[in-house]
Amino acid sequence: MAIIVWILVFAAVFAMGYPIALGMFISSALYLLLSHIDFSLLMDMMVIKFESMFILLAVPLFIFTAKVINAGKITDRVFDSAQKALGSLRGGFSYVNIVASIIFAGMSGSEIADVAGLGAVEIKAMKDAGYDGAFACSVTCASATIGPIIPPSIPMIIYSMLSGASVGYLFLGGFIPGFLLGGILMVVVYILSAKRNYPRGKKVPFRDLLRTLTKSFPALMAPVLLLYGIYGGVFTPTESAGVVAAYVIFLSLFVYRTLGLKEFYKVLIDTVLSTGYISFLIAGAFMLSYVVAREEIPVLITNGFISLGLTSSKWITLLSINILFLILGCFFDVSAIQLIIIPILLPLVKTMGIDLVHFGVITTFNLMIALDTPPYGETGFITAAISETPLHEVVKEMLLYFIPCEIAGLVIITYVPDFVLWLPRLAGYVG
Amino acid sequence: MKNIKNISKKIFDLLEVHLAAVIFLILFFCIVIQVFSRYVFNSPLPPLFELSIYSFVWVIYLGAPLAKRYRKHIRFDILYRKLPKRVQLITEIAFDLLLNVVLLIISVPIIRYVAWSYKIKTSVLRIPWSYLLLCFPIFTVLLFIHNSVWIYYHIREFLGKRTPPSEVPPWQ
Repeated sequence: MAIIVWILVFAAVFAMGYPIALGMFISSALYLLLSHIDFSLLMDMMVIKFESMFILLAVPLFIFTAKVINAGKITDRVFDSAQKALGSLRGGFSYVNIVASIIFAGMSGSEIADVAGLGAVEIKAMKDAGYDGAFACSVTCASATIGPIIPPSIPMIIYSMLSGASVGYLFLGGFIPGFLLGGILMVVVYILSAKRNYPRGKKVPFRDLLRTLTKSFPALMAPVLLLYGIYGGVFTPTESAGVVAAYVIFLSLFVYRTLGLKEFYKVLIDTVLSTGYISFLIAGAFMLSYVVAREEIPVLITNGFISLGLTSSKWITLLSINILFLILGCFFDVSAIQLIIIPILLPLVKTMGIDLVHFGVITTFNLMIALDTPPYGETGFITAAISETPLHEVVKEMLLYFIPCEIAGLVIITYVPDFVLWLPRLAGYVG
Repeated sequence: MKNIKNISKKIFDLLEVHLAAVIFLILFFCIVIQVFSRYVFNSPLPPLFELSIYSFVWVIYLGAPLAKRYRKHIRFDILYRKLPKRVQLITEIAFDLLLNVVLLIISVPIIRYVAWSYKIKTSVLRIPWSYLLLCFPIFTVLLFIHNSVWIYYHIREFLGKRTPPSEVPPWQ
């Protein structure tokens, strides 16, 4: 009875557009009520459990970092450097867009922050330079996908919390896939730029380039600081989020003086808000995981995979999980997919002998594609709104050129695990 | 009526906006000072470690009602957006009412749990557990109030009455 009510309420909440986290909360509370379990369990799962999840502290801190970077216009400097270096190529702004996103990826762990912050600068510059809006938006969406694949990465932190895989190795595992995707996107941009005769920018004298790079140097050092700190053993991935936030605040307030105290306070409030709804969703997922485990739902799922013949090899299992995630990603929010589906699939993944770091990078990559795929592709909504381009044009461009490339990247990292595992193994990972 | 509205807005802002922002700053400084202390003085500070986690929990449970207040919680709204406005309002009212019922049902057990946990001390700071857990009853009260306000607005809208213009969010 309790499980039926839980499923019905949760499905109704999901389908009817009520907030997912609140839906998890309502359905779980009703489950406890009908199962005659004390409500103190709600607080054990939704409050006390955070005490053993120090890694999750990185989530608000990386959100904070991304917001400071955007509000402090550090994104402008990153974009300016990339533009001076690559702008003179045919379709140069597209390469600038991709490279700036790769650099931004090394500072922030959020694709949405990339699209909403750096994306706004990139799209405006591309449209001013004569690129069509749909192309500018699509390149921005596709390049922003790299954000959470290259460390730091909020989805990888959440995955680490769910699976117990090491964040350090997950971060290392994301490097090559991130650069691989950047490379694939550059090839597409090269072909489209030649075909559509996109403009070349003015060649910048070397002295100007050097001056811009010097000015941007402190901003470009943020990813270096982060990586040196984590892999040099100075601080943990969680602490790295705090240190990088402190560094970008220092840059914005005192070096570049692009962020006033009033704006800084607004960033703080915005961070509190984002932390509230993202972390409450995580708290709801703790409760959901409890119900899922108590009702042995992963066993049912595993049996379902077995009866469909999807467990004959780990490659077929991975293929079916990838397809499942791609389909779900078209309709649902990525954090909801991650927090609801991954705990259900993890026992199957472990049974099939799939490496947890490999699986974590694959799912992160897959979920970032989900942010681009219609009808629920948040990046498309944001960029179309920023650039005042009709959404259907952005979607068409994405579906024709960029999403197939992203899926190609996903297939490569799925079936050639060394693309993910080579760097972690080099650092001592045994898996 | 206007005075009550202004005073209640100030109280909500004080808790969900200003207090939450201050607690977030505490969280942030705890992390930075910890790294500095360990790296420079080779002296880890366990109390700050514990304080940072408790601050995080408080920020979550002050931020979540704020997200409800400004309708920022993540939702799957593809189907919802296709529904007629009146059906949308009915579903919102129904689920908000259900949420309020749940909040009422859990209120007594969670307050009892918070009171009981006063006897237990945290491992490093040695402060009562209830100081950490208190954020949850506060969260339920705030959520209940915001929910009730939304129910009221939605019922007015459903009946074709004028609803007040939405307030400017404090982060804009």
